[in-house]
Amino acid sequence: MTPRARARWLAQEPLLLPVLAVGLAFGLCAVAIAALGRSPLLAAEALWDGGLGGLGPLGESSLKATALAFTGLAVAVPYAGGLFNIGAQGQFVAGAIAAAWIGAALDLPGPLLIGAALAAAFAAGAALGALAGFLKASRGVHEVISTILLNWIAIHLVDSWLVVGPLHASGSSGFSHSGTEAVRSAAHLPLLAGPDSRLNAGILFAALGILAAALLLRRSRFGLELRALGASEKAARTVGIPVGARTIQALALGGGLAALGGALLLLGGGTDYRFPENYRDPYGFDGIAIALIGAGDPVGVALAAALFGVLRAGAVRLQDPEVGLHRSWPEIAQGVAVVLVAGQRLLRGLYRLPLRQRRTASAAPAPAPPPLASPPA
Amino acid sequence: MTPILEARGLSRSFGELRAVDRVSFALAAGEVLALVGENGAGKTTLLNLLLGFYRPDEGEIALDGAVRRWRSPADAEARGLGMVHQHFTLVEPLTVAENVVLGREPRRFGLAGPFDRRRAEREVAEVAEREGLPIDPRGRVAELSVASRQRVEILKVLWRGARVVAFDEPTGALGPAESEALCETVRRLARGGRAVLFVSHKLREVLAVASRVAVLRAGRLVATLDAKGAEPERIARLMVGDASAPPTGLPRPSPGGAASPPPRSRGVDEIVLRLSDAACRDDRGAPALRGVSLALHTGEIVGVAGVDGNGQRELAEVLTGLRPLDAGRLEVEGVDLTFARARELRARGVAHVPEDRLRGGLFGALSVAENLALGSPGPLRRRRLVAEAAAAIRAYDIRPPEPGMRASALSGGNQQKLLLARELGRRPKLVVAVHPTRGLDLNAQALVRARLREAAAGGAAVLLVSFDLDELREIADRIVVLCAGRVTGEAAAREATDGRLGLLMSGAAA
Amino acid sequence: MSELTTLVVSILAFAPPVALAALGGVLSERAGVVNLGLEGIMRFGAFFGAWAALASQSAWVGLSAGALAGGAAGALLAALAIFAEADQIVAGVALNLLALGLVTFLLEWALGAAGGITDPVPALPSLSLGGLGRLPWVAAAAMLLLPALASLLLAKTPLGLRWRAVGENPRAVAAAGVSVRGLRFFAVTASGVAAGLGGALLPLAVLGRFEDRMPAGQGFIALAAVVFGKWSPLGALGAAVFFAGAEALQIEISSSGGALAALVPRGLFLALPYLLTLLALAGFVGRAVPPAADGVPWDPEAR
Repeated sequence: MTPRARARWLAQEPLLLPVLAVGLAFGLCAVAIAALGRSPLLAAEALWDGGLGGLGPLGESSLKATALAFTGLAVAVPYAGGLFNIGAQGQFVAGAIAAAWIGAALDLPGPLLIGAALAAAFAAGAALGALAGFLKASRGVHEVISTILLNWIAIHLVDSWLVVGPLHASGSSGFSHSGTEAVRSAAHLPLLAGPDSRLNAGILFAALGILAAALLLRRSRFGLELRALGASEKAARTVGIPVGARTIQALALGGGLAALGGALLLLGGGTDYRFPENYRDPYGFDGIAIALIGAGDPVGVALAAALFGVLRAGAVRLQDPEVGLHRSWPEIAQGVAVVLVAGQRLLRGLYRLPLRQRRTASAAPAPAPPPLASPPA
Repeated sequence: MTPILEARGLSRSFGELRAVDRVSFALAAGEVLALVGENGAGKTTLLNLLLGFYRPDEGEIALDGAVRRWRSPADAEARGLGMVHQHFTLVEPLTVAENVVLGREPRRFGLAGPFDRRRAEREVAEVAEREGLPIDPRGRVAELSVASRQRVEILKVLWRGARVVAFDEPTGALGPAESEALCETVRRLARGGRAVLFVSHKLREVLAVASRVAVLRAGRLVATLDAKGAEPERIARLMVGDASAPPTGLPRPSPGGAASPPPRSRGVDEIVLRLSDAACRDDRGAPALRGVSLALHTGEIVGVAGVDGNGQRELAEVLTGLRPLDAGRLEVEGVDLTFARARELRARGVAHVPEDRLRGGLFGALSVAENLALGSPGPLRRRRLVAEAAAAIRAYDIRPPEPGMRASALSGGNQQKLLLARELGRRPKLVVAVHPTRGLDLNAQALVRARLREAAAGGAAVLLVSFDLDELREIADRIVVLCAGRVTGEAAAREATDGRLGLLMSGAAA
Repeated sequence: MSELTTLVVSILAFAPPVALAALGGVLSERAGVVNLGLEGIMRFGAFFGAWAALASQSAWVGLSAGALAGGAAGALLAALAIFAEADQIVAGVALNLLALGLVTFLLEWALGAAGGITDPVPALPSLSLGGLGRLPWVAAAAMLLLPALASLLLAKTPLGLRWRAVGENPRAVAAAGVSVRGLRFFAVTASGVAAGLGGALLPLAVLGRFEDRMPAGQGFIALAAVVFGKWSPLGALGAAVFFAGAEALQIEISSSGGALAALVPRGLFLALPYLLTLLALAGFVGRAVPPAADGVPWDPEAR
C-alpha cells in the first residue's frame, strides 16, 4: 500500500469501523441463532419481510427510524462539541408529553396545530438540555451525570404525575384508555401511503433534520465552533469562543431534537396518538447506540437509524412459528455492535495486522511504543 | 575506581528515527555525569533505557560490572537505580510519607492487611534527616511548594535505596535560589557515594554541578568532557554540531555583541496597553496578581521573567480576556476593556500565543484551514477559507503544505508556525506570547523569535513570558520581573544580569 | 413510633440492592473509572441470580451466581475501558444496552418465562417481625457490612492506598512500579461483583422473582447515590438509605390516601433522589467533588 493510499484509508477509517462492527455483530448473532438450532436465513427473510415487505411494514419501519434518527441526532450533535447527552430518553418523553398536551388542548387547523405541538415539544426538550448545559457552564456539573439525573426526573414526573394526574384522560373510564387524552385528528401527521400504512410525514421531518444537522455541523460557523470546542476546550477559550454559551446551545439543541423524535412518534400514531401510562420504549437510550454506530456523523446516524428502524419493525415476524425466535434479537445485535464500537481499538488491531508489517517502509515514524511499565493489551 | 553503571553501545529506534545510537559511557560512585543536548538529541530516551522504561534494541547495561537486562523499571529500581522525573508523579491528597512508600508499603499481612503508617512515617523522617532534605512526613502534598514537592520525589528514590540517581531536567520550574539549593543536594548525594546522572539544557547549571559532561547529538554521544575548565561555547557548538548556528541557551559574551538584534527603530511611540493596579486570583482562588501595573508601547518587546507560578500565567490570561480582574483597569489603545472577554479583546487586536500550543492554542482534530478560520470571526465561506489557508501556509512555511491536514499530524515546530500564522497574521496591536519557543529545536526557536521581532517592527507591542533569561535578553527591550504577583523590578535588557534578575525573582530586592 | 419502625424495616428491605450497586460505583470511581454500566451489571446479576437459584433451588447458589455474573460483566467493562481504551462512558452505555437485549432473550429462551416474569425463586432467609412482615436480614447485613469493610480497605491497607492513588494520579502509581491497568481492572471487576450482588438481591430478597423490567433504573439511582455520598463507601450507603427512605415515605403517604397524597404528587417523591443529587452536584447542598482522575483514561505516554 502506498503511503498516499494508506493515508486515504486511515482517513475513512472512523466511518468504516462502525460498518465493520455492525457486520461482525450480525455475524455473531447469526452464529448464535444457528447454534440454537434455528435458521439465520429464515430470520433474515422474516426481518426483511417484516421491515420492508410492503407499505404496512414500511410504515412501521419509518415510524421507528424517525424516532431513532432524532434521538441519534440528539446525542450526535452535542457530541461534536465533546458533550455527551445521555438524557435523550427524558427529553424524548418530555417532547412526547408536550405534543400530547398541545395536540389535545389547542383547537387549530392541521398544519398550525402540528407546528404548535412540535414547537412545544422542542421547547420542553431544549429546556431539559439547556438546564444540563447551564449546570455545566456555571457550576461545572458533568453533563453525563446531570442528563442521567434529568432523565429520571423527567420520566418520574411524566409517568407518575402528569400522565396519571393533570393530563390524565378525563372523559373515558380509566380502564380502556389509560394515559393522556388522544390528540385532535388535526394534529395527526398526514399519512403518505393511504390508511393501511402508518407511513407518514414524520419521515420527511427526519430527512430534514438530518440534512439540517449535517449542514450545521459541517458548513456553519456555529458548527465549526462546536467542533473546535470538542477538539479542545482550552483552545476554544483562547480563540474567544463563548464556551458556556455554546455548551448550553448544543445541549439545548440536542434536547430539542430528542423531543421532536418523541413528538413525531406520538403525532405519527406510534402510541395511538396519546401518551400511554407506563410508557417504556427506550428510544432515547437507543439514540446513544444509534449515534455511536453512526460515528457521531448525521449521515451515519441516518443510516444507523434506518437499519435499526427496519430491524425493530421486522422483529415482530421473528416470532412466527417457522422462524421461532425472540423479538429481542435486533436489540441484541445493537448491543453487541455498540460493544464492538466501544472496543474498536481491538477491532482495528485485527485488520491492521497486514498494514503493520509495512509500517517501517512508510515515511512517517511510528509513535513511540508504550513503556514496559504498562504493557499494551 | 570501578564504575557502578556502564552503558555499552546502547541503541534504540522508534520507527525510522534512531533516538539513541550506540551510546557508551561509564559512571562511577561519587561522580555527577551531566547529559546535555538539544531537544530530541536522545537524553530522555537514554535515561529511559538505563532505568528500564524502554528496552534497548542493541547494546547492554552493566551494573557493578555484571550485565543486566531490565524487565521493568521496578527491576532496575530493585537494583538501586532511581529517577527524579521532570514532571512530578505525586498524589496530592496523600501525605508525604504515603507518597514516598507507595508501591512498597510497609505492611503486616499482605496487600489487604493493615498498612504500617507509623513505620512509613518514621522511615521517611529518618531518610529526610540523613540526606538533609527536611520535610514533614505527615504533611499533605497538595499543600507543598514546587521545591518541596521535588524534595518528596528525591526522597522516594532515596527511600528505595537508590545508588544511582537520575535527574531529568530538574530545575525547569525552579527559581535561581531553589535551583542552587537543588544543585547543592545533588553534590551532597555524590559526596555521599552515590552516582548521579543529571540531564539539563542549562549549561551554566550543568557546569556548576557536574564532574563530567556528556554531549548528545542526534542520538550519539559526540563528546565527554571534564566539567572543570570546559567552555560553554564549545559545549553548545558540540550540541548543535554546526559552528555557524547561534549559540542560544548560553550566557552571551557581552551585551550588544554579535548575536544581538539590530537596533529597533520605533515610529510613533504610543502606548498600546495600559494595565493599572491589576489584581486577580488563580484557579484555586488564591491571589495571583496583587496590583500589577504595566504600560507597553508600539514596537516594543517587553519580557516577563519570574519563577514559575508567580503570576505570569494569570497576567497573560488577564491581558487576553481569559481571566477576570478583581480590581484594576485594562486599556488597549485608550479604550477601557477591563470587563471585556476574549472575543472582544481579540476583535480589538490582541493576539495570544499560549504556552500549551496543542491543547491551549490549536485544535488537533481540526484541519489546518479550520484552525486558521477560527482566528477571526465572520460567516464561513469555504472557498475563501482554503485560499486564505494556502496564503498563510506559504507565508509561514508550514510543512507539509496541506490545508486539509489535521493540526495534530504536524510536527511541533510546524504547529507553532500555524499558531503564529493564525495569531500574527491578523496584524495585531498587542501580542501576548507565553513560552513560545519551549520544546522547539533551535531553528524553529530562531524562527519564532524572528516572527515576534517582525510583529514588533510592524508596530505591535509584544509581551513575552519566558523562563529563559537569555532569550529575554536577546529579543526584549526591557524585562519586568514578577514575584508573588507583584512587579518587583524592571531593567533594560542589556543591564539585566542574572544576579540582578535572580534577586528580583526571589523578591529580595523589592 | 410504629410508623418509624415501619419506615426502618422498609428501608432495610428495599435499600440493599441500591446500596451494594452504589458501593460498586464507589469502588470503580475511586480507582478512576466511571462505571456507567451499573444498571446493566445489576440486570445481569439479577437474572443469573434468579436463574441459578431456580436451577439449584438454593438462594445461596443464586446469590453466588449473581456476584459471579456481576464480576464477569465488570471485567467486560474493564476490558473495554482499560485494555481496549474505549471511552469509559461509551463502554458503560454499551454494557447497559447489551444487558437489555441479552437478558430479555435469555429470560424467554432459558426460563421460558411468559410475560417476562419468572416463577417464584427460593428466597434468602428472612426474619419474621410479626405484624411488620418479614425482614430479609441477609441483604440488610450485607448492606451494612460490605461498605464498612470497603471503607476500612480503602483507608487502612496498602491496597487501599494504591486504590485511592490510582484514582487521583495514575502516573504516580505507574512511577511506583505498580500496574495501573492491573489495579484498575481489579477495581472495576470488584465493582461488578458488588453491583452484581446488589442485582441478585432484587429477585432473591426483595421481589421473590425476576421480572424483565429489572432493575428499572435502580442502577442509575445507585449512580446518583455515589455522587450524593461523595464517592465514599459509607457516604454512598447513607445516600442509598436516604433514597430508600424517601421512596418508603412516598408509599406510606400514597397508601394512607390522606390529604397529603393529593397535595404532593407521587412523581415528585420518585424524582426527589435525583433532584437532590443534582442540587448536591451543583453545590447547593454541599459540594460533591469526584476523584481527580475519575473518568480519565490511562495513557502511559501522556504528560
